[in-house]
Order: sequence, then C-alpha cells, then structure tokens
Amino acid sequence: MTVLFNVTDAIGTAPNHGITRTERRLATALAGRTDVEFVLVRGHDLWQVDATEILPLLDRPDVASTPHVERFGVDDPPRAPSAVAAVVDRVRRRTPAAPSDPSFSARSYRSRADDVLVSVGLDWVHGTLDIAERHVFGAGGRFVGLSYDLIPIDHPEWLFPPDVDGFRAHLRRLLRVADSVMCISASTQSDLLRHFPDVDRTTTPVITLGADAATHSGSEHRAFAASMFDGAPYVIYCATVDRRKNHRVLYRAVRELVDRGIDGNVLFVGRVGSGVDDLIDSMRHDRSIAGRIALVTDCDDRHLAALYERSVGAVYPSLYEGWGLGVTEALAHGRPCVVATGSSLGEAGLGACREVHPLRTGAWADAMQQMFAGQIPAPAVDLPTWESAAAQVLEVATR
Amino acid sequence: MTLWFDFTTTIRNQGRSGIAGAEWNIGQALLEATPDLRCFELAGRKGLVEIDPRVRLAGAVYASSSGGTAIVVNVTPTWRDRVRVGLRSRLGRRADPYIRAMSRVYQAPATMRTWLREPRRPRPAARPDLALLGDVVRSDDVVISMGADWDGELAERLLALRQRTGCTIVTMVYDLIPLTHTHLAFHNDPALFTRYYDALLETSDLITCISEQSRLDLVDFAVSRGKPEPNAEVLVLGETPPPPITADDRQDFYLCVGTVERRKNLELVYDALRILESAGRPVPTVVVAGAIGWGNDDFLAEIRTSTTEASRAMVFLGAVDDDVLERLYRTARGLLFPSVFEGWGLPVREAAVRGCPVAISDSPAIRQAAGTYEGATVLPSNDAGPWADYLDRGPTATVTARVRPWSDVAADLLRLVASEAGGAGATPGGAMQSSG
Repeated sequence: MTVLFNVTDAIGTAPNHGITRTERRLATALAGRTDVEFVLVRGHDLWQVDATEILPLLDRPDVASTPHVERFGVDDPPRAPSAVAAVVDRVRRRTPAAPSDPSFSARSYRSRADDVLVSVGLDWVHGTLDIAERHVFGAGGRFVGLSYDLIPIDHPEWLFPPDVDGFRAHLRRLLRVADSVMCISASTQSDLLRHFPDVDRTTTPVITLGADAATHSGSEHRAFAASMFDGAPYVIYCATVDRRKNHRVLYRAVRELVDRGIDGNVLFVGRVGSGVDDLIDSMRHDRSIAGRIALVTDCDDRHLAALYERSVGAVYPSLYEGWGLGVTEALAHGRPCVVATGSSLGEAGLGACREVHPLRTGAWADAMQQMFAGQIPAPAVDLPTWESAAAQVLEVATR
Repeated sequence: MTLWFDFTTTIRNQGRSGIAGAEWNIGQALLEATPDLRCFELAGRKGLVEIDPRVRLAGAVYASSSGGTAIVVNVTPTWRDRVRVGLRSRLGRRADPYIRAMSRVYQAPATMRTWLREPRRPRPAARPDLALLGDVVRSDDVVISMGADWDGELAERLLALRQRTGCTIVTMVYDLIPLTHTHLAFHNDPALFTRYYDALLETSDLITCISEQSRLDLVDFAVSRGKPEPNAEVLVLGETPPPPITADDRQDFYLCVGTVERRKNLELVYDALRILESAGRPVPTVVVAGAIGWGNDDFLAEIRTSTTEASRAMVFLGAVDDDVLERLYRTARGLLFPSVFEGWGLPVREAAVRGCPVAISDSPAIRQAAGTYEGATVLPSNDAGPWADYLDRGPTATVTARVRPWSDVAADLLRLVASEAGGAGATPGGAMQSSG
C-alpha cells in the first residue's frame, strides 16, 4: 500500500499560513518514508513528484520582509496600492508552481487500487475531488480528506462573498468519496456531524496538528520589537484582521483599560482582510485610544518571533476557529495566552489557556490588566509535534 | 428691550427633528410666552431679515415627518450586495464612488415613483419685504439664535449685527462631537468645526448648552484655543407631552431609536444578542427606528446575511413618522440606547415620559437626560456582556417620568436672557410689555 500525499498547495508560493502551512509541515514530516509518495493536482490529472526535489520548497524559509507599522491615532495611514497593483499582487500570490517548474520534475501518475490518496489542502479550489472520485470509483483506491472548519456553512456572514450551497455540496461530495474525513479538532468534528448526522463518527477521526518550534530572532528583529509603543508593554494578537477574528472586542477592551487608568497596549499582527473598514477607521480617529493600538503588516517569522518574545502575553478572541495555530504559536514562544470560548481555541490552548467569552469586553479587559500586571504566568505544556500529527495521518490512511 | 428669535434652521430643514425641532419648539414656546417676540431668518445674500412668523412659518414645518420608505435590511443578499461587498473588499474606500453611483442608478425608478405619489408640500410663503435686522435692532435688544449653521455664515452675520448695533447675542451649542469624537462624526473635518465654534465664541454674549457635558466640552474647547472661559449656561431641552395613555400594552420587543450610524453603537446590541444566542438563551426581537446612516457598512453587511439568530432578530424599519414612533414607544418592552456619546438623549426622554423602561450607555449627557427616571438602567457602552444580561432578565415595570414642557424651556431661557441683559427690572417679559 502506498500513501499518495497531495502537496499541491505546499509547493505553491502562498504565504506560510493556515492550510498551506499545515500541508507543508505534514509533507515535511512525511518526507523520506518509503510508503509515502508525493503527488500534485494539475489540469484534472495526478502528477508524481520526488520528495528530494520538493523538500526545499516545503521547508523554504519565510521570505524576509520589512514589516510596516501603523500606530493608530499617531501614524498616518498607509497609502492604498492602486487597483491595478492590487490585482497584479493577488494574481502573483495565487499562481502556484506548475509541473514544468524547473525546480522539480513531475510525472503523470496513474493511481492503483492499493493506493490511498490523502489530501489536506484547498481541495475545493484545485478540483481534487474529481481525481479522488476517479481514484476511488475508477481505480478502486481509497481517499482520505481533512476538514478544517465549517465556517462557510455556519458563518457565511464572515465570508466575502458567502457561498453556503457551494461549500455544503463540496462537503457532501467529500464525505461520499472519502473513507475517512479527518477533523483538526473535536469542535470541527462536532460541527461536521451536526450538519451530516448520518455520517459514522469513526470515519471522522480527530487529529492534533503540530506546533512550530519558536523561530529565533536576530538583534535587528529584537530592536524592531523593542521599538513598539516606544518600549511600553503590549499584548499581541497575531491573526488576519477580519470580522471573524473579532479585533473589535480588543478595541473596546483598550477603551475600557483607558477608562480604568491602566497602561498597556495591544499589537495586531496580520494582513487586513474583509469586513473591518469601519473598525479600522474608528481606531484611526478615536482620540481616547490614540497610540494604544498598533497594526504590523508584512511581518516575517523572525520579526514575529521577536514581537512574541517582547510581548507580555497573547490574546486570541476569534469568534470561531477550526483549530488555532496562532495559539500554539504563542505557547511555543512561552507566552501566556487568553483565548475565546465557543469554538476550538480551548483545544488549541491544550487546556492551559484562560478562556473567556469572545464578546464580553470586561473579561478581556480584566485578563489584559492581569497580563500587564504579570499575574498570568506562561503555562508549561508539552506541545504537539508535526511528526506526531503525520503519524496520526498515516494511521488513519492505512487502517 | 426687544427679543429677537431666529427661525433659520426651521425654515431650511422644514422639519421637527434634531436641531430644527429644538429651535421650532423653543420658538413656539417663546411666541406664546412673549407675544411681542420678533422673529428673523438668514435669507441668503440679503442677510438677516425680520419675518412675520404667522406668514413665513405657515407650511414651513410639518406636524410629522414624511416617514420615508421602510428600509428592510433583513433580506437575503442581492446581486447588488454581492457586487458592493466585492468592490469594498477589493478596493476599500476607493470603491465608494462606484457603489454610490450604482445605488443611485438602481434607486432612480423607486425615487421617482415615491416623488410622484407623495402629496405636494406647500412651499413656504414668499418673504414679504421686511426690514433688515441691522436697521431695526437696538443696542439693548437681545438676539437669540438656537439653530446651527456649520458653514459659519449665520455666526458671521450675527457678529456683524452685534458690532453694528451693540445688541446682545444668545446662541446654542448642542455638542462638540465633531471635535471631541472625530471617529464618530460623519463630517470628519475638525478644521471646519473649529472655525464654527471659534466664530460662535466670538459672536455670543451667552451660549446656552443642552447638557452639562456640552458646556464642559465648550469650555475645554475655548481654553484649548487660548480664549477666555465663555459665558455658557445649561438649558435643558423639553418634550412635547404625549397623548394621554389609557393602558400600557407592552409587547415582546425592544426598541432602538436614532439614525443607524457608528456613534449610536447598535453593533453592541447585536453583540449582546449574539451572547444570548451562544448561551442558548431566548433572543428577543429588537426593532430599530431610524434611517440608515454611515459607518456601519460591515455590521449591516453581516446583518443582511441573516445567518445568525441574532441577525434575524434585528428588524430595521428605516425612518418612521411620529405616529409610528409613538406606537413603538407605547408598545416596546424597553428602549435600548447604547450610544457612545451624545449631547443630550432625546429618545431617552421621549421613552421616559411614556413609561417605557430604558437601558442607556454610561455617557454623561445621556445620564443627565435620564435624570432620576426610575426606569433607567445604566450600562457600559464598551461591553456587550451587561447588555446581554439586561436583555436576559428583562426590564422592571416603571412609572412615567415627568414631562418638561417646552414652556419651561422658554421660561428658563428668558431667565438666562434677563440675567444676561442685566439686573432687576430688565426681565424680557416686562420689557416686552413696555415696548409693546
């Protein structure tokens, strides 16, 4: 039996976040195993690639960048790129490496009955299920998928534009073709079974994703971190600034801290997403919190590591997550972390993080006040590894 | 001494809401209290001219706003919503002109239909040739201007009048939100409003403020501009007495009143509903009476999807007329007023005098508006949690607050004017009688 691990997203040029990061880490952990082959999807066909050739693509260091900082109410907002430049940038970011990429060679692959195709990527983008159906129903093979979350169905209000029916159809098709659909948390498994109650629970096993080791920062990165808020203490929230991530509760909490006369700042790290124009406009012009909130964009891993090291703690008030890589990231950097209830963040916090309701401002203000006072110690936890996550994937694929 | 009253804002706005409403009501009360009150308006290039209120105001003000068309946002997103959201997410603020143009084109037929169906309002009566104020105002006269004119022309004309005649000028400040809370102001143009308030300080011998908070903000502004502390007094607004209540018939919904704009903080109510939803508690209906304003696009986009119980629980009526508003106050289980900041809190007063319980945000002027009303509950404007708790336990029954009639406002104003005009025997009423 051969496990065909789909690396279509992993070898692309997308930033090292979320699903792409998960696929890269799992592929790296699986590389070198004789019973695992790497494949990718192009033009409705399956292509085999050599692990040795694509390993550099999987483990490529984060591209060094110069982060941009906007301290709301103090700094001038950045000039938006022109519409043409924005479109070009989006196209450039989305273009994946082609099979003809000179850095590796790809051979058309004809799947066999004893192959197990495993895909943990953006299957609804690449048409992976077309191939999976040919593999399962045509060649008699098996397919194993992965469910990250059910946000497109449960919370279309946070997607622009929403596509409930499309994603539901994708999941229905996935459950039909797959022997197993792994879930990245018990929360996701619960959501999946709620929507598809006829599915056998044993075919939706929960796997625990790994946590990256802390990246080491250099002196220039530490100097950058030390310049935040002129050296004053801050808590950090690393997530795309979009509506689901619920940055607005931290904005309100900072207002609350100002009312309480508590010093301390909040640092957002992440690109600006959708549904937050009004929030950002408010933060830019609200004099009562001027200088207390800053946003760092274009931040590479080493700068981020320095920002974590400098912070007094991390907060994660997201309204909904399938897992919470940002939480394990904070724990890997030895920071105490406060997370929101209501989804999987408690699981990602490994039971060691304080949990508060994502919409109760007072609870966040209390937690941050205690962080600034040094009253929330960093939890001592054994972080899960990607090797262990890869072993769970193989166990599901080969059982 | 003669009292002069300015009806410029009333005539320009032709309505009874907001500043125009305050000016109209105070003016009417003054006309009743002092029959010899003389009135004027700012008439374009002519400047300040005297008007005959019986002629000029006839047909200029309507007993009830037109109400407009109910704006129901609890609908499935249309293709236009998708285009709008798509443009917004890709182009940010640069998409706004295209979105507005698209909206205008699409709404043009409906606008035309509405215009054709509406009864024609009579145009305000033509101005007869009356005197320019500069020619008739005397040095011991008091000129009262309760309106607002952000472009500053009114203040300039009043200043010129005072310099020419030596009269006393009394003006009104509602709030300084465009300067103190720029992120909550639609016109984020501090320079414009700085010029306006500078001119007001220079023009006025007495500035009345609708709340203590507005007075403090005005004093802070003057100090920050290096000016002496202004002669500012609080003049609390009044309410029109509601029709007699036969029996309360409170129904199972909460009410929000006001333009749906960022300052009104309606998203906090939505978040409170989300808290109840997440806890599996009953999610009450919240009816919103007010036109859709600015600074809420992201929030309204989420409401429009109607994918959460909380979003389906919010009903947006758009602007409503006085009759509908009266019925809503009478039947709502309670009024929710989570506004971040106000110069006063008219809906709070309107609800209180109808015995409707109110939950208000902890903002100074709103607290002052609620006063000692037993049915008021003060909650934080930053935290949806206490609002959720309030909605969960429900308001308690209460008694009706005492109405402050506009005649009381007029009396207070006359007292302030008398004090400003100087000493005993100079009460405006007495002076009016002697001059008449």
